[in-house]
Amino acid sequence: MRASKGNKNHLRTRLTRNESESKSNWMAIESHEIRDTVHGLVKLSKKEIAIINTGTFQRLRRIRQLAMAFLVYPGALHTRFDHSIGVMHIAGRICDRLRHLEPKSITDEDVERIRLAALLHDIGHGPFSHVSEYLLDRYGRSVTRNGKSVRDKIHEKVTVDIIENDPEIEKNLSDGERTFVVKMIQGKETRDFRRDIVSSDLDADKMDYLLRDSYFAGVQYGKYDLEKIIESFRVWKSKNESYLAMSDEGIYALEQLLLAKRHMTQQVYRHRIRSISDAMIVRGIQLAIREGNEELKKLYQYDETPEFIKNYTEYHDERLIDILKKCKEGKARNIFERLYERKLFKMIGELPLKDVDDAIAKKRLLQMNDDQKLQWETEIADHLKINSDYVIVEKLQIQNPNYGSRDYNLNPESIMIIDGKQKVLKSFSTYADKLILARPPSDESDLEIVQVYAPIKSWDALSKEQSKIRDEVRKILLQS
Amino acid sequence: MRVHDLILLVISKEEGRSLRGRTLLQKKLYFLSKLKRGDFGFRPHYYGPYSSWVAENLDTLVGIGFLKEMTETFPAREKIFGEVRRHTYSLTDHGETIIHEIEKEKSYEEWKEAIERLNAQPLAGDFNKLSIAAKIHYITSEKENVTPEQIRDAAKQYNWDITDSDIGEVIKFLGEFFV
Repeated sequence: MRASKGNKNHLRTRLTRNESESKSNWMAIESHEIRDTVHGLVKLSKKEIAIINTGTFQRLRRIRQLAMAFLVYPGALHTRFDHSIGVMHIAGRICDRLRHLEPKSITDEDVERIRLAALLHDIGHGPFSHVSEYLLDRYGRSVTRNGKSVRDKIHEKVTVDIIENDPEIEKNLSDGERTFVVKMIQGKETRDFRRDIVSSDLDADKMDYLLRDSYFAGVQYGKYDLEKIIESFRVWKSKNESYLAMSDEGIYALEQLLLAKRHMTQQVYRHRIRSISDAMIVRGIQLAIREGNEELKKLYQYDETPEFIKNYTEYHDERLIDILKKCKEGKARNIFERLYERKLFKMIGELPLKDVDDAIAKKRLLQMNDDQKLQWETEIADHLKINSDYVIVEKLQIQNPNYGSRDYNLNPESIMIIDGKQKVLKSFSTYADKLILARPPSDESDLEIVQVYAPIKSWDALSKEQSKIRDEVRKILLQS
Repeated sequence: MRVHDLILLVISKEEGRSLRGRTLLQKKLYFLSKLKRGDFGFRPHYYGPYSSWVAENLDTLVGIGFLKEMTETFPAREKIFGEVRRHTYSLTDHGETIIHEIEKEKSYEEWKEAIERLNAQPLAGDFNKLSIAAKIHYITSEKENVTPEQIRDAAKQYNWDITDSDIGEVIKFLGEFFV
């Protein structure tokens, strides 16, 4: 019977799934499987199981993927543990697809190692995920690379240190595997399609977290056609470099994924309550360290020693909450009790930089440093007659994530699209143009925004006072 | 110098105080970062070294009103590094005010010299040739002595439609700019 066009697509999807089954012979298959909420049954090799069973990896079960986003989306309780397994599964499926198209493009050893790199990509996450990244970068001693101090890369260095030095992880990786995994996670100097699978603007990480976060948050924004994306992957090679490219047949699925990323950012990742709770966690920990909490100081003061890693890998969300709840009476404890009981700070001021009339004031807000921030917090606190430690001034970037930050980047300019003759194309479809997906975010408002949070008890009841407070906050932020 | 200040400064040194094309800006900042040994997050891409950090800062500058963006669309793709959509960036009044502030900074003179040195190169306004030069510079591990064969080899791999005269210009640029 001749298949209709629709049937052909159906067969193609089935073929993709079957490839995943048949090409998985590189693994020592002994029916080791995990039932994953998003991907169903995920097969695991002996080595993968050994790594998952280490204490260092099991710790990820107690680090929530979206920190305290459950204060907005009660179901968002999923963890770095299930995400890491999901990323490994997607990475493996991409490898299977590429090998099906071009058997010589990728070896068994490559596939094993790419899956390991995907499994371990988040092993350096600390309590409350990205909050810990910020605190590590703030309190850690600067790391030296190529004779230069690279302070802002401490969280990356911690991941590499764990892979290289954690006794349990080390025991389960050969020297070659360890070198490969580190290169996949850290090195970015030469373009390599194998690294693109693990870490790029269109990697297995994003492909998993959009689906997973969407599912657990209970929203539909993060959905896209995973099967079509995987089916559309190709390898583009030159003498010097190789890329994980996408066939132009997959462009609509890619656009769907870009839109999913954008909506998830606006609705989940940058949700107002999430921004406030993250800012409160950071402030609470900073205050605890200032109040003399040696445990927390030790946790975030990275010094490149094995002792630091040993201590760091013993921490997770629950342990940090316990420490903060047991803190001596003080401001840090107060903030964590508030978080625990969901008595959150309120947003008492908001200033989009595009609305600022004075160019110099705008530049000052854009380049906000710690001293300036402290000065504003003190003045706002004086006005509100509260302690300045309870006022938080934050600068946020609310922008088109398709051109977004280095951490959340998914950039149409850097995803390679090729046609059937391996010719590199650059444009998205006309449909995407109309959706402004491929346009720069300058078309959008509120790219940079300063927000102020403080513990106002009955903000809603203060409706008449609200505009007065907002005006005063704005005045303070604009003065030199 | 902060990357957004450098972007404003580069645009202020263009003819008419406006710069045509995101690619041109990317490549100019790439060569300036190499000359001054700054790290602006350039990573390998098919169209040569590209920094999402620079792209992000450029968008921020437009978003907060220091730069004005004009967009042209091209129905057909241009050869080699063709941009389907080209953006021209010019300083707003607010942007001009900030340039006066940047001129007071300690590092202003040395960056100004570097920008003028780049702009003095015949290639500086041609985003196609500057892109080829940047790609060659990156894939040859930043070696200054690039041979015509290396460029021909790359042109074949990347499907560049390139003449011997173009090759000569790229070699001359890479040789002279970093001396």
